[in-house]
Amino acid sequence: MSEIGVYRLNIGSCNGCDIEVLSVLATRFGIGELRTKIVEEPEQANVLMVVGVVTMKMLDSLKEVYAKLKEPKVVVVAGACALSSGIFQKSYSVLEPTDKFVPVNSYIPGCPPSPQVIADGLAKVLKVKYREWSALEGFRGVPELDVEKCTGCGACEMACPAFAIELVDEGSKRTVKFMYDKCINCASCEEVCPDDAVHLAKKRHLSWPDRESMGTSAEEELAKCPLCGAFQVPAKQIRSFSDSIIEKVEKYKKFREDIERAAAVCSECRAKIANIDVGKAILFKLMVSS
Amino acid sequence: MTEVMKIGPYHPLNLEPEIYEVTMRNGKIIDVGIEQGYTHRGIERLMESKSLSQDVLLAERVCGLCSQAHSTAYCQAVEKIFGAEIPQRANYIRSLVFEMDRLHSHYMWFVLLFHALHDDGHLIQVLDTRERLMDLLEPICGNRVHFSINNLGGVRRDVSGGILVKVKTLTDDLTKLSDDIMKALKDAAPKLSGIGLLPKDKARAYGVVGPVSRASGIKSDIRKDDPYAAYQEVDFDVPTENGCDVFSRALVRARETFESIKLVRQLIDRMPEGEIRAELGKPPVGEDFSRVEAPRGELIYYARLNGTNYPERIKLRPPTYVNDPAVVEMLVGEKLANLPPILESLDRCISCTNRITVVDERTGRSRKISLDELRRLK
Repeated sequence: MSEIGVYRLNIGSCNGCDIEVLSVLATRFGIGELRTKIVEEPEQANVLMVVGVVTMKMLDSLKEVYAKLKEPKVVVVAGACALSSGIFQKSYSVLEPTDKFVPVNSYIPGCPPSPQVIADGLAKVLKVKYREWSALEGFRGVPELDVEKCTGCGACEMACPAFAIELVDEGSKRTVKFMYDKCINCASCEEVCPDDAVHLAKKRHLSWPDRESMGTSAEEELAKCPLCGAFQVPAKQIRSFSDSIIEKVEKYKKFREDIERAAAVCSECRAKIANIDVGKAILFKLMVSS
Repeated sequence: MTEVMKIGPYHPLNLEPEIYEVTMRNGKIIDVGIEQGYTHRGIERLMESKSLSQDVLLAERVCGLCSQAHSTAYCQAVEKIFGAEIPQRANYIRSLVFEMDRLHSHYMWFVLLFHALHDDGHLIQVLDTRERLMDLLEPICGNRVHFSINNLGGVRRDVSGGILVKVKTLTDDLTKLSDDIMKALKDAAPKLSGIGLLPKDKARAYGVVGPVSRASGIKSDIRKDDPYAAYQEVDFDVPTENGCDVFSRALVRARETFESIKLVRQLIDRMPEGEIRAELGKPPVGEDFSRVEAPRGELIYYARLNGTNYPERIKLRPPTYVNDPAVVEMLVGEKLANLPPILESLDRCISCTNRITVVDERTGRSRKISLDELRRLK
């Protein structure tokens, strides 16, 4: 069997993925086992490896190179940028992700993906068996969510620079969604989580055949606002919030119900002038006791 | 006969997209036009929409090879406005990762040079030994390429003693690798000498920085001229060459790897114990700038804060931005066969360089104005 050509196209990357693709050539990764060859012209290749965000100026080149590929055409996208624009989402010169312009067969996550993962991704599309690699001590993988501990507070959503975490409220349910296609493995979510519910995986994340299934999520029950009945604050968050208050000031123990009631008030009711008296009454109670 | 050849935006010669329009007459290059903007990602604007600590992560994603340089320069500029005192251990860790970054970046450059020279034996040797360096960067920082170890006020992770011992052991093997690279360069000297000349006066005129300027005999290194992080407390030399050609640029980089190895050893030996992060407090109002010596040369970050958690303006000046125009000077008068090594000798990093140019139609055109018109304007 002859070797299969792989063509790498940089359409607006930071260079990080490019050097990791180049590192795959190192002996230890055994690229020879995959029967692939990195070629210098798109006409010689079946596999197109795209790295980087789709910038305005490179869009035409991307389509041009895809048209030049030999049949059957296989497109592998590597790195958070090519998968979903990663940290560069919402920039004025960055277009939609690669799979909106050309059909994609395999997604390799990471920022940048390690050479081991790139080689594995290639092996998967070529249907060749490839060895497994473990991660070294201290490696930052994708974030994993401890559903028991997560309260749905949303601190991670605010800290994430790549919009990889999303809170979706539907009725009395809140879904905390982690999207691995956007994740840049920076560990910001792990750092800010007040409940120690997010931990970065200690293993290398491998390639996926589609983008929808890349991720993890947790469902939280939302508490009813005692004033208007809207669902806004997760019940678990109210509990952990009042726990931490009582832990700091023990005297407030007898006001637990009041604190929990106040915490459940939605942001709209909190801003209403009519409700100021209710808030004042709670504060007064706490002040008298201390 | 005049021929025009367009190289790019994607081409085997370019690791990153960029267009070189080469005009040739009788087999010699007479003019080169450069077109950029293919990897423009609007980073400066994007930085204004992210918080100060998120921008550390965005700054290092400007460039994959100078990752640590970008985040250090950004952090230092912002920390200066905060008036923060960075713990000494954090400064040492920053410098250590900085030098390891420079080593792997320079080794990657040699991989590309040996590729241009069709020397596969040395290419694989450098790649394989470089992997061992990457295997130590991974446990120190958590990632092979984007380290994310810097943080406003210090560093995010401490380094364990066990890893430091491993890094020190590896430096012996890296010295051996650099020796081998030196030997290989001496063998390749006939192919590389005398091409891509950039004389000292021209180098000054173009304002080139980093290894390109040092290969033209200009002794400039921000680590020495304006010490930052822990560079005040370590000893090292700034290698310069007077050949002004591709060979000199390769030699300067090879000699710099020895200096970096020396620095890594000293930083590990003298690393103090203590805190790794200082508290910064509320964001102030103010502006400042910081510069560092990235693997490709001087990198400048300017920051202006307005008292909120979002910067008002971040401006960066990467090294390739000033080095790239000098390629015209190097290429004119050369044979086409010498084009690949000359382009490679710059160690271009396009990802940080790409800008959008807006040309104003009115200022582009000159127009004479009469005295009468001038009077009427008043």
